[in-house]
Amino acid sequence: MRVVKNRSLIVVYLAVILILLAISLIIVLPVNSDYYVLNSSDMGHSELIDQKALWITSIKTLRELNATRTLLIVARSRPLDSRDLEQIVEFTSRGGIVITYGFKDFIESVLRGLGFEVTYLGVIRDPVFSKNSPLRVIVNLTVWNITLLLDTPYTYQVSRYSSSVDLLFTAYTSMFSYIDENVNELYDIGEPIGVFPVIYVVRINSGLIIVICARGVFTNSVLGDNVDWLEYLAGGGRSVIIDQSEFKDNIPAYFKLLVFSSRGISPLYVLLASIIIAMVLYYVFYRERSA
Amino acid sequence: MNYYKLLIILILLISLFSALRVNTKLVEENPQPISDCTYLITILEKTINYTTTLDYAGELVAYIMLNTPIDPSLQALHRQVYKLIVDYYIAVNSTSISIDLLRDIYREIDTIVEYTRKLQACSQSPEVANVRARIELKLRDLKSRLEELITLHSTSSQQVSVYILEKIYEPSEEVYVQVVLLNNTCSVNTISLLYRDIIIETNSFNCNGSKCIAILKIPPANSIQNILEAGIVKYTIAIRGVCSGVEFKIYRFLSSQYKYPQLIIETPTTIIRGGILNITLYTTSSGVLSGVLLVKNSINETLLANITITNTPREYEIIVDKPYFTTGLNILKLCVNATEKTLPYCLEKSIIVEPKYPSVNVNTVSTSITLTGNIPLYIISASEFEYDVQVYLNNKFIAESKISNRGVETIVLSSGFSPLSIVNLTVIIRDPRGVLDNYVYSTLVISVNISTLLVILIGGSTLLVILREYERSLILSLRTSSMRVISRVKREVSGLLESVLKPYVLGLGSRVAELYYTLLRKLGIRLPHQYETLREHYAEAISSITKKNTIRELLWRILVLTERDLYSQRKPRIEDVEKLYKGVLSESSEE
Repeated sequence: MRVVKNRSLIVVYLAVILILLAISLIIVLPVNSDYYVLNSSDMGHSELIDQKALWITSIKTLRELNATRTLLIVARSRPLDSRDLEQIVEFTSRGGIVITYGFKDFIESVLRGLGFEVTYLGVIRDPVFSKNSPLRVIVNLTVWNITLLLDTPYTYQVSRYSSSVDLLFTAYTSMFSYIDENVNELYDIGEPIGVFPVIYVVRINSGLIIVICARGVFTNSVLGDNVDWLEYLAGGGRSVIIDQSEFKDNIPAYFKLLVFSSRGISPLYVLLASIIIAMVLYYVFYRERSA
Repeated sequence: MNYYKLLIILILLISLFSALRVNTKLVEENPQPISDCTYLITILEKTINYTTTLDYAGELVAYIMLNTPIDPSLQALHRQVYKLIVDYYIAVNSTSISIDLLRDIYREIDTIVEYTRKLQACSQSPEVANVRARIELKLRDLKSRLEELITLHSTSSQQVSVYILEKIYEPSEEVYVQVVLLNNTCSVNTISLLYRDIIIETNSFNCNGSKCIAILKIPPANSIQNILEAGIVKYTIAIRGVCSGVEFKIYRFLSSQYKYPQLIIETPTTIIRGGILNITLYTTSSGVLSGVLLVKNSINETLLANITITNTPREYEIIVDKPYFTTGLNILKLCVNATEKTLPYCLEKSIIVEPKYPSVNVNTVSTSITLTGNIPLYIISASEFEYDVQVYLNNKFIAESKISNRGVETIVLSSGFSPLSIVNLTVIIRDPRGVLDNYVYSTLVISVNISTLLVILIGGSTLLVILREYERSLILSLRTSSMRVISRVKREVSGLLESVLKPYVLGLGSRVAELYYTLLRKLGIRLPHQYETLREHYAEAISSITKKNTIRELLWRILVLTERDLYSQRKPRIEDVEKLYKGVLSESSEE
């Protein structure tokens, strides 16, 4: 007959293991937020990381970056606040290139921040100049002599430009595209059909802000078709940086960003996992023998 | 406990490896052909609009759409249409317009109409009808433009002039074509009347000097009834000739109007079964029309009569009997053959046939209490005809009979041996002539069978009396056997519980044992192995190691108390054990 040896010690061990397990689970469980760099679904950015892109978790980091050697990708689902926009404009004016895309509220906040007066018209579908789905629309960027594949583009009616805006170029969808106003995935008589503006290239001093009215540009869904353009823009020795400051409020997502590095699992995670395994092995074997 | 530890290790390792596999790639889908017909018809309208104004964008759109995959059921027609539009641009942009290409386009233009019809059929939007109408209007413009082009480019105005009276011709009407040869090296050979690619008639010219005349006849409606619909039909006239040894072809266009005959059916909208339906038929068109009168309903379509229709109304009498007419909606269909002037045509008119039942009265009782469980059924006929009677009880056919003219029929039905039953009685009366509708009578009847009821009562009472004698012994035997079963179950359950709870009964969590083990650990004595009793351990580990007798004795007393706490029902007081525990500790510190 055996009697329990020391209950308090077991409780301490179990508590430590459970805490470490909880941390481990937070790290391991997937975060499927749109534009998240560790999300491998259609709207994630995991494939962009495979293209040697890096990420920043705070927009303030932009001050420390050399703008002339950086290509910044800002893709968000929520509107941008004025302080973040100021930081981005300041970064651009120092010679940076910024590409923005995301949800309509975010793009609207960027366009308004740049001095555009806009009214949202709706999602664009193009059954002819598209790939795989009418929502993945091909747009010709004549200024770069390249075509882009936009995932779920949408359009705004621009009623007024600010005099301070230096709009270099606007790209349009094909004459076969239409605005799916009632979002029923079908064309209805009366829905506008024709060319619609979806990309605005704005110059600020020596930098560029490229505003793309689409849900995805370098997301996993369409990155393969747009990677040439990305490489072209980053061709002058620019590093591709993805803004992930939107995930500051999302604790598991933010924690994962700290634990993982751009080149895979960070040493911190390896250390944590090693501690867990060492503790468990110590408990199982060493303590058993001493008893 | 060991399994629990292994499980934790396993979870941790799985978690670690899953973290390494977060980045996975998705497989892409194949491109989808366009199946949105509303979209396709809108793009077609845009293209046609560009085409009629000769906008260059139309050619670009047509080229792109030509190579765009769409729904397989429409793909061939889609390609044909956009190829035609591209050909049109090629033809009109060419420096030397090809008459043959223009004629091909002119012939094929109806495929666009066919395409729009199909697109409208597969579109769910009612507004597409307006788009189709607009496209057809534009196509008529395009056709006129093509006619002008063909006429313009096929005339050698310096050498030959063609004169045809421009009007809308009637079917079978003769068309006089006059050709004036302005150059004496010219001659005309043949003249043909064409509809699309079909040569309908070919004739030769009668020439008198430089003037040549040919007569063509517009085809009568009955000769081309399968290729035409009513409306204006465009025929092409092709004149072949030779000028200075070089053959030439001149094209002209003729319009002819084909109509459907005006038919009138006069008939009442409702009729009672068995009655006579008076149908008056006539036409406002000229001539005599022959055809058939049919009736169609949900079951079939039946010929009622062969008819001849003129301007004079003619009355037909039809008996509304089965199986030609069903109760409810029936449609009279009048179809006439094509004549020289009119196309074949069918006109429909609906009539409602109201049912007429045999004049009979069916009666029964709602509750039938009889010695044999019978149910009486009375059928009274007020008609001069004989009818068939079929009787169903609970939907099961049980009897068949005939009711003679103006007679009374009584049918006795048996509800069975059940002392009390509720049966669904259904009586169907049919007209063997097939003129009148079936009369159906249905009701619920409660039937009491007195004989069976009495037998059950008497039998039950007798059984009760017999069983009463054995009542006591029966109950006793039941109680004894049930007690035996209960005690066995109780014994088995208690045995099972005992085995399940054994470890707990035998001192799991004994505070005394815990104090004894703590004491051993504090004294640096090893703990008992799994295969050792406490006494064996004492002999092996304690007596040999501890030198002081007092400690050995105290430990022995705690051991005995531990055994009592673990196995005996006489549990020791914990205070006594604690006293001994402290005694050992104080002795140990002194040592």
